Amino acid sequence: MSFNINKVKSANTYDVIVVGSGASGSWAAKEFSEQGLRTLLLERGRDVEHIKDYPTTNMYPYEFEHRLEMPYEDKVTNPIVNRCYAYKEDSQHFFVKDQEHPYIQVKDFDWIRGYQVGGKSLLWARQVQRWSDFDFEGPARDGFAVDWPIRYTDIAPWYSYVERFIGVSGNQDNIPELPDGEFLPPFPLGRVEQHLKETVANHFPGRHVISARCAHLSKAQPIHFKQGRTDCVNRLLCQRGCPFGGYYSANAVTIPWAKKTGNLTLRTHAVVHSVLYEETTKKAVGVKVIDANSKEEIDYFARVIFLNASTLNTNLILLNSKSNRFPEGLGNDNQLLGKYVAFHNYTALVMAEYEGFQNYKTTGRNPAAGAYMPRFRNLHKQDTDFLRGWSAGISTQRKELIDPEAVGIDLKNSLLNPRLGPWSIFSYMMGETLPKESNLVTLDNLQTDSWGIPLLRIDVDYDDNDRKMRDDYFQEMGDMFDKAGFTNIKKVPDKRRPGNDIHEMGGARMGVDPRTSIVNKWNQIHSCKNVFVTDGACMTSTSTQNPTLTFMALTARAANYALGEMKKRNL
Amino acid sequence: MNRRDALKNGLLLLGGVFVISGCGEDQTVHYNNFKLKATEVVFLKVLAETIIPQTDTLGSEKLGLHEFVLKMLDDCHSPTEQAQFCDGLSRFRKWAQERLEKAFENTSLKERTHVLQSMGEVDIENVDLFYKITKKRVIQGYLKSKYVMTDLVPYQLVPDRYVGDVALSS
Repeated sequence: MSFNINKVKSANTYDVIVVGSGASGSWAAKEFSEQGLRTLLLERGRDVEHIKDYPTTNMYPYEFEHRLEMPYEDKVTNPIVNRCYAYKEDSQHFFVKDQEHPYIQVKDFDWIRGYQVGGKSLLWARQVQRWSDFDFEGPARDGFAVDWPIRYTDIAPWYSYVERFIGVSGNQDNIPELPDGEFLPPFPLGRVEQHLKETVANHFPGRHVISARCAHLSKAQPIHFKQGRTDCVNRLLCQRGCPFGGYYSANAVTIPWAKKTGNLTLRTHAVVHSVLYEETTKKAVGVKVIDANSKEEIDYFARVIFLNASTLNTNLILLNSKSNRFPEGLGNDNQLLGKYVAFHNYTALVMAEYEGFQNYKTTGRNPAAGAYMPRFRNLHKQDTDFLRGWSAGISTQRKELIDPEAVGIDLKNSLLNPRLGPWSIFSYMMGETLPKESNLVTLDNLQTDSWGIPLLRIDVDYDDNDRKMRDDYFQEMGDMFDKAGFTNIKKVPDKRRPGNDIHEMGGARMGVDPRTSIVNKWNQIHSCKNVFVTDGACMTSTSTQNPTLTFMALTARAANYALGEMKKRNL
Repeated sequence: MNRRDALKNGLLLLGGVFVISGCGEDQTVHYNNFKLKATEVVFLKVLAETIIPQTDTLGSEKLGLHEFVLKMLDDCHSPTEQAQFCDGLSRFRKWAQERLEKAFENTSLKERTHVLQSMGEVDIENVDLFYKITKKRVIQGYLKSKYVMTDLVPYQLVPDRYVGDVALSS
């Protein structure tokens, strides 16, 4: 019998297991498989092969039964996912439906998920900004969360490493709080975005309007051709999967690259139940998987385990990894696992019109979506009654006016030859939220999912700091728009629930001190060093930048550290 | 219900989307979530053609836009709106009949257009909502039809450009 068990064990043994095949997990898989390690990439959903599994990618709008609108019944059945802006008839097959994967909302929380190979990297908004030391030093300076165990110099080379591979379009803007990177040519600002940039530069010292940096190939380089990708062709149908590989997704870039090494085993429909911990060696030895279809339990073994299951699912797996040594979840000696979850505050929009530049318009579609304003609030010193600050996205285009009262021939003419109206300006805030012990996830004691795994209880909310920040954004963006001569300025509260920013972070935060953090500066669990957490769960604070680039850079950095430690036999 | 039962009950399956029961003036068209009299569907067809008429380019009837309105009503609107739509449709017809002294669908395009141009003055329960939904869906169906997106205002699947400051020739 023991012979058979050993045989099974040996067949299920790899050098490294990576849990989750999205942006961060696929980076881990790429790094390990490239270096010759036998790598098992576990994905709980189905396979989505680049191009082949993008069923809607080349469809015209009129080919969709409801012209992209989701039917009423789907909205009633799946209210959570229907609140996500990207969930439409062309992309709905890449989203988790509410009923299929329930969770418990202690407070309102929209948990938006993509359970398939590539995860949400197919669906993301592709905005990629580096962090700076204004972000990494934030918690220590402002007295919240714990100090980050790393600084910009630790991660800068890994930002470069990731940017060169995925392709990032942007300008060298020379802004200390938003470090420059390895950029392909930027997408241009629209005429009125340029006007706003000049207005802000002239009248608001310390504030900047730049072309948004995005993970699109404005000009593909040899490395991108080698990946089988070509230039972005401005379709802006990214959420369907891009047959050109014009933007970064795990499906188009890192997973095929890892597969080509011959060292990657991709196992789909593998729901990770827990990490297996061995008391004698004081190490994790593998993971317990439930086959999503057969519900069969299978154990996989490896020397090193990377958790990249997405922020809250990584927390869930760790909390559910109970052993004699870790009765409250793997690495949870300090009872902080699942706590200090944070996200981004998107609760406000400012819109306006502009009557200037009537002899200009835009044409085509902008993958960068327009302009970006990095955080200026409380940057060098505290200058408001709330902590931290916000960044903003800004996009502009000419309105196309049709006569709403017209009927018949007049309406037809109006529809086919719309008049160009004023410029319309749209901006949204992206605020840093403060990680707090009271924003947390736990496991339910009674209810489980179809695979016998406890349901996640999510208890996360906005606070006064978020509300003050929203008011500040209304005031300041309104002032900047006013100075630019914009009119009809509308300040619109966005009733978006936490979670619908799809930037959830934390729960297994990085830190120097094992008493106050879960993972160390190399993303290793303090008390179980062969388990690494490198997705959003590891984030100590949230900054105002879109987080995915940082997840990928942290992952590449941690994977290469792990490779070195494995060579030295320390792992 | 199988096909034989359907026939026995005087129901006819049409493309699996809706069924017609009854005969003559009383024919009823059953959609998944509401039903209309066959004459009401004809009325809607004429109304939609009035909103987007045939000119030197195709109009609503040739493009089947009233069917698109009903498809969207059936699939994308709440039961409340469906009920309000059906009620509004019926009240609209009555109101138009009184005003025109004959059925809306039996008047000239010019008369019908005139009626729609004065819709702003009408204050009858559900009529406004009915007309709003109809007009919105007719316009959507028109602009998002293969015909318009191919022949009149070609949709570019691959624009391959973004220019932020195109100067217009004045």
